Amino acid sequence: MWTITKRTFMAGTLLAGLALPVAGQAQEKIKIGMTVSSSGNFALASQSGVRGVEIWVDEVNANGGLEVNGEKRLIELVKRDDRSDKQMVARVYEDLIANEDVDLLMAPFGSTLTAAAATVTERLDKFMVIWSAASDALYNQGFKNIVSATQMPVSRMPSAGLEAAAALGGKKVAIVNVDEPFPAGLADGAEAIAEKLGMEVVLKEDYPKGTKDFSLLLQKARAAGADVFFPTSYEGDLISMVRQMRQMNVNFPFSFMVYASTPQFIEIGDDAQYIYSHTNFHPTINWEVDAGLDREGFLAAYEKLFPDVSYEPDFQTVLAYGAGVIAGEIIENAESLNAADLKKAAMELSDNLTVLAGPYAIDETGKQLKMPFPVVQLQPGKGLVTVWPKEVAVAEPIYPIPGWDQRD
Amino acid sequence: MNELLLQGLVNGIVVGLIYALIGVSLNVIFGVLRVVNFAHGEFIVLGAYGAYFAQAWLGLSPLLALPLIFIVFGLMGYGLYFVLVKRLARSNDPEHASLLVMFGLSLVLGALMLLAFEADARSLNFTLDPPFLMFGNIILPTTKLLGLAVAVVVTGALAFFLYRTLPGKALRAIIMNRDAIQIVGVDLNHLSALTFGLGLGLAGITGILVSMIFPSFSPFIGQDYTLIGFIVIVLGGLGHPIGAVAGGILFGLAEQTAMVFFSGTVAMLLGFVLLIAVILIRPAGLFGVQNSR
Repeated sequence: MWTITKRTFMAGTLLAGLALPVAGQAQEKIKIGMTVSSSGNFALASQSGVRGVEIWVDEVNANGGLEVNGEKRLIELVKRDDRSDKQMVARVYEDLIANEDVDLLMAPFGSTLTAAAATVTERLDKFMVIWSAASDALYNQGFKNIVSATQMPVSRMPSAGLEAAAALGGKKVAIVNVDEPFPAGLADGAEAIAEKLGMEVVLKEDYPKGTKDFSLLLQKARAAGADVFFPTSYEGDLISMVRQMRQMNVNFPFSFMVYASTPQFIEIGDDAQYIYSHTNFHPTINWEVDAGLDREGFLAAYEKLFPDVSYEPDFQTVLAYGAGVIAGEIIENAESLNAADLKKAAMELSDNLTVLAGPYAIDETGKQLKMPFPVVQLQPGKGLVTVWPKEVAVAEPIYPIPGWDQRD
Repeated sequence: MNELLLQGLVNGIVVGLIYALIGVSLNVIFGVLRVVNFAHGEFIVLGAYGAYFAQAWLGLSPLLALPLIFIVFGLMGYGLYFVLVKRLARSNDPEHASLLVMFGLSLVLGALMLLAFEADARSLNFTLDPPFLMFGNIILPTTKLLGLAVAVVVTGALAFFLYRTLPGKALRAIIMNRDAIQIVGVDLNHLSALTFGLGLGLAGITGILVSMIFPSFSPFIGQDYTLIGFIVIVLGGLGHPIGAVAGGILFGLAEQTAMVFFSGTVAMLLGFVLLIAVILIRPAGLFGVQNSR
């Protein structure tokens, strides 16, 4: 009767012993670490972003997880606080890797914190997905394990606006900026892009923070013969500029203002009409996504997951959600969770993926090459509508912008 | 270029007179009370918000809001004198003490405005028809001309008050000799509170004018106006109410004409070079008198 010999018993025990860890591994979660700023300068943007990552995690886990080497694995998001402090970011990312044993990381908010985190992930050889760091310098430091999944660098941000201007017939560009790092970076990028597009930069001028009167600057741009006006300043200065454009009867066939799509700018009334701007989250921007949720699905998921949050999802939420979706695609396409394999998969996916935030393409440095902020224009009777690029445009651009005396 | 230069000169005078108005109220307070009002810019921005909400809630045009804001800010200044300024006189060094107190007040006001009005840039919904007038090839916005006219009237009225009325003469007497005026029976406290009220009332209406001419404002820009105010009064003469007018026009002209040839950043730098040159040549400013205390 006894058919189980000592040998078969031993073999069975050994097999069971071997099988147990395999069964355990099948349920092992993929651990993704990131920090959130509970306080400090970056708190609002950081928290907006993490909600996007959480929507992605919830969506993936609801569908049974990510498929890695033929097995479904759930995701565990390990969140820590960084209090908007770059020194703390470095310590916490080290702890996430060394003690929490995370498999990969999502970056914190912004270039400052991301740069601090990248030094740690690079040293400890972990892969990090970036969703909000726009500083060009970050991508020129030789980091091998970073990928900006959704945030294009500052130098590329003016691309869509200037491409639209060139396509409409703009030839001479006047670029003005307040003397601060981000607007100055945008202005330098705009100059390079305009020249690449074959446009002539007839005026490039900065002015100090606190400047109140722009009338002479506007007249200089007009006297230089500009048909494209491209100020890269913050919205307060832009409001003053557009008001003074009317007061001085200065009009350009194409005026692009970086922050003209904000509710505060639009609120100023008729003077805001016809101004071109850009944004990546608007009811009229609907990319044909081939991974993750589309705009409607995303809004429904946000509503379901954060019914009590008083803030609407914003562009940070969209960027972070898109970065999560791209991280998921990278993981599923990689041979392992090793940093080099993940980077290899990220490169292979480049130019082959479109998510809610737009089309994804990177170079070897991890710099995002696409994800354009579509160009919008405030049009009478229609409100803010997307006019460029053609894939997402819902209205024809009004060009040239009518003169002040030709408006109703 | 000649056309732009001419435009720059005209712009310089107009903008300079608005700068002057910022400096005049600052100078009245400093001249009489020796109070370094570091919160001056925040009061100006508060005046702009006053006009914004008078328009949004009461439907008042910014021009009609001018007297209302002047009275409200005047009363606020009169009261604030007894809360903040009067006790500074007990300090060993009232000027330094006032600088610290007013710097603190500027931080508090900035934070309160941020809490109450949020960080968004706002703009008055105010237009004039026609929006501009042409003088040959020179274009002048009617809003600027109107602001200029109000600034001239306000400055003229202030000059009349200071030089032709008894309280005004008493005020100037305080600037000249604070102790002597008490001997002749002038109520220094009342007159000082009146001065602080006058200074804040002027700051309030300056706020309306600057928000008509430099259209956007936010809780963060108070320090910009304080800086302009101090440049103007140092150029014109510390404590000299009318010297600020000359200082304002000089600074406005230097800044705007430099902008014709250089970038705004360089133009501002040249404005500061002018300031340093005036301080080196005439340390008391163009209209200042040495040892006016």
